[in-house]
Amino acid sequence: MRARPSPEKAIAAYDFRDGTVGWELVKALDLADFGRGVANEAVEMLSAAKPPAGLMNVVTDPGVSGLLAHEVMGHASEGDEIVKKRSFLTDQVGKNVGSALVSMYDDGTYPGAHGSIPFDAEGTPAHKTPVIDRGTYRGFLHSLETSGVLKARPTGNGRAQDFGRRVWVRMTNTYFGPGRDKKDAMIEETKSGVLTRKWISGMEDPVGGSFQAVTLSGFGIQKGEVGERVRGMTLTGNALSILKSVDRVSKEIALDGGSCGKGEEDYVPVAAGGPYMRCKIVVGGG
Amino acid sequence: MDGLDLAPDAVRRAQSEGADAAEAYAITFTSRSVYIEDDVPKVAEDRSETGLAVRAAKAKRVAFSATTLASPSDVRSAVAAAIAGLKRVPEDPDFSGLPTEAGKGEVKGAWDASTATMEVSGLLDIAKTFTDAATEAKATSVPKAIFRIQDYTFRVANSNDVLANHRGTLVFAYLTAKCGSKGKFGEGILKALNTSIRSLDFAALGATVARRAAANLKARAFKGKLPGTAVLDPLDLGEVFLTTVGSAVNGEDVHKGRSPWTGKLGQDVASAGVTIRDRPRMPGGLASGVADDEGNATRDRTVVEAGTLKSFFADRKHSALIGVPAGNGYRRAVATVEGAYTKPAETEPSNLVVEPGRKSLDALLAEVDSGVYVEKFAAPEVNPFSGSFAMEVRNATLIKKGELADHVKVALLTGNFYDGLKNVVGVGRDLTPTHAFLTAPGCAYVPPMAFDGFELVGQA
Repeated sequence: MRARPSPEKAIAAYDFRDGTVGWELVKALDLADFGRGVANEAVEMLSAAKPPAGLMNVVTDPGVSGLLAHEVMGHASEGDEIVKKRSFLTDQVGKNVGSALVSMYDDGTYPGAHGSIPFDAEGTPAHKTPVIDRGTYRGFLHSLETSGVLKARPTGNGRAQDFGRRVWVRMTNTYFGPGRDKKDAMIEETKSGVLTRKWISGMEDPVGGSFQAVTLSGFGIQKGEVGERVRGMTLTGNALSILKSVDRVSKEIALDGGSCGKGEEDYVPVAAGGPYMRCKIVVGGG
Repeated sequence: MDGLDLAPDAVRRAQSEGADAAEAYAITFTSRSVYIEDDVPKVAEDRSETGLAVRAAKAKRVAFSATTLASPSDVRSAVAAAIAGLKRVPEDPDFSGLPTEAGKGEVKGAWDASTATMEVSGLLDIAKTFTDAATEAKATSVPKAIFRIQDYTFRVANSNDVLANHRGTLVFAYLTAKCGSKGKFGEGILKALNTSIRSLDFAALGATVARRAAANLKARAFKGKLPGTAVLDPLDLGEVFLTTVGSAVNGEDVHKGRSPWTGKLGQDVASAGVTIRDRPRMPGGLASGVADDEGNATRDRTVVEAGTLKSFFADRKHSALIGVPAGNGYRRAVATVEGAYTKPAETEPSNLVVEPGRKSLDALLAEVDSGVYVEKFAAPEVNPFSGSFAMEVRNATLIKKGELADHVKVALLTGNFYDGLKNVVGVGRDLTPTHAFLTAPGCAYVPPMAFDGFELVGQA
């Protein structure tokens, strides 16, 4: 949905629903209400302010938390990247990679999620694979090939875009597990920072351990209160520094569907998500 | 069976089954690829495919279908699907008919014989040339690389007796190098596109990507903020041009009012040193051809001249709506034609060319007192409506008094690209072709350029 008082100020907002379901997903929606919600957000974004810049407290919404899970830790946990030693997590199994509040999974069995599969492209049943357990890195995602090379159990992550493409190690539904905090309490305890609002895109850096996450918009946080809406932001930083800075994690989690490429091609359906998380990230916006 | 010959058959069949007007687009291609992993070839591929797209119209209703072509019966099923669609689709009040003027002839260099006839064994030799060059550098390997050549021909036929043909070749390479040891690594990433495999120097590309990997390894997290001049490498800059200028002069975006340049013809939208043309007739251009993917005759046009907005481009439908000649209806991408037949033609740039200046990259850098030279972003994404951006730098080097200084990372280059176009302080001389993403039509040929007004933001 796009709002446009003048061509110079056209802005777009979006919302979507997804899952491994049928038309019932659409039938269950109040489409008029859905449309109004997106339109109202687009109009509201017209008057959004420039986001602040620099290293700051960021409360990530479930969509952006999912982007961190997928881009920051998920790609770097793909077994083929480990075989190539193209991942900053290559020698990290058993080591501390985040605060004790951080747990993360790749779960191809997640009911109804966009990346759920009964079995992967090699016939291995889908698994729920712990990647991080209370801050400790547990291990990698595998195809049959990488499980053979690394002498590990296959995890049901050997996936191909279609019959014309080769099998790579790919994520399914990747998410941070829930915490114990209430979202509102997390914000009340934040003196200053930003709250993200929906994701646009992400880009991994498994070698260097950094990432880029682009948000649709966000809100400033001042003295424990959500303030003015800000325009889209880009988040970046060192993955391990960010995860070690996580000090609040909400009870509620949600997953968003999307598609994921490997380098330049090979797109497969995935989902990513998590709770609201408070951490320190470098923020910038135009 | 010659799949291309089935395009006119599909048009006749659609008309006989009740369409007022019909269009068929048939494309056949051979694709050869080599995938490198950890310095060695892992997969080699040689495959061919033929596909057909059918557009049928009745009054203001327009329906589309597509199929792979394995036998003449596929034509019957594709036409039947389009005709059936006519009963279900709503009217399109803006539909004003199919093209009436076909592009004829050919553009020199769009098809290259040595590329079309290269076998997988030749690609393997090229992959080795690249890998050997990249791994000459100390502690450097090639974790992943893709080398692909495609030879394709398409034919467009419609019920206005338009019959257009085009043959082309495409070369696409996605190249990486990794360097370092003991858990500390840097990575360089590069893409290369051309219509001729002989025009690419894979040894030089290997050396470049290895150099980028080494620079990435040396890079340190940038602290603070740095306003100043940003010099941008053409490969990612071209992608930014496609996202922003490619949208701002896109006739569909103009018609729908989502182009920030709507209503600005004749106004200054860029610095005086910036001239941008859409050049479908450019010799050797990746998107070059005398006909677009609707069959319209193509024409070169200047969209921005010395900073002033001069023109927009459009496909058949939007050309009628905004009053410009048609010629920019595209389905095929410039990195691969795979899947081109699965979608209708839409308004897209052909070869979007920024007129080069006279300065070398070194000369551009030498003029910068304080700033940053960015060779690679994580993803060069800019909001096409507003122009705002904040892009993570992956290969970036600070510039101090005209000299390259420290390599930096964990930082965002922020700003507004439309504002940046009005603050161009240098245009380089060497054009590099690039694309937006794998299946997106359109190609940009841009030189390195220097912008004022952007800011590098790192940790506090």
